[in-house]
Amino acid sequence: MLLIECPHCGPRAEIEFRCGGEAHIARPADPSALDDNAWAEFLFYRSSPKGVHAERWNHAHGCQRWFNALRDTMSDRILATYPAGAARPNITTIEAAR
Amino acid sequence: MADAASPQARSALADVWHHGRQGRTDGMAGVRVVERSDVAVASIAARKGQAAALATKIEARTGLVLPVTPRLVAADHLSFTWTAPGQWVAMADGEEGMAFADELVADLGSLAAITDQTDGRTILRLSGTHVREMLAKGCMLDLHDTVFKVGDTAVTPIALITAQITRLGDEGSVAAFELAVMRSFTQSFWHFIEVSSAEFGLDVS
Repeated sequence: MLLIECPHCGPRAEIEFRCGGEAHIARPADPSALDDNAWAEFLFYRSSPKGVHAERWNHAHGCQRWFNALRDTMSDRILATYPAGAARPNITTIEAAR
Repeated sequence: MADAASPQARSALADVWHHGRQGRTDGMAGVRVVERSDVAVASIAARKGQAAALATKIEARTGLVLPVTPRLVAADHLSFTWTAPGQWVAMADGEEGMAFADELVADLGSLAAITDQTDGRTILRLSGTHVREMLAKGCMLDLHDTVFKVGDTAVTPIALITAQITRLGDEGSVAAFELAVMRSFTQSFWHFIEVSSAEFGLDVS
């Protein structure tokens, strides 16, 4: 069982959460100004790094709030969680999280 | 038959629970359960940007400070329980549900969305020497006193049913918890309590 630290509720079991994909993807200010490629990139193109990845998570069976998490995609370890809207913590390696 | 114009409130447990002793019959019952039916319940959700103003007004009226972490505050017959950022559940002993919600709306309606939940939730008070062992069969939280302290609360699945669990003060020398589940899940939740308590003995009153 993976424990995930909800920024509002504290450490909870993984099954209380839903992952919502990559974080920090801003919706373009004026979508109609984009060509099809740029719009498709916003909608569908996502990074899939081997290592630290910023993701959106939802505490679906608790406070129901969205927040962001840095997860190591190799070990599945959650390195940090932070409220939606907050800046991404400067953690780029697993060593930096320790 | 009840008068159709004034329907009587009916416990969601009315068809399934039996007062008295269940499960193991020797010795003291390890788990005691009481339904709280004499309480008015309302949910409060602060309007955008109004959480601070709401807290100020509630403190001025009741002397209670709305918690901003998963905690319970209570005084006399009134309590507020944190459920999510900007959201609380208010409970008032011995009040009628709609009247309580209407009173809150008149007072706080401009600062928060308020909804009567009195008939929407079943509220149980559990205590006993084995209440933690029994809850551990369905609850993933660490309920030890050093972690889940008196006044702490959490919204979490218990037996896969989303419930709000709050650590109340001790009853005698044993821990007491309050559990709130949505009315439509009550019978399934009750099944969990019955079968999980059987080995310790269950006292229903």
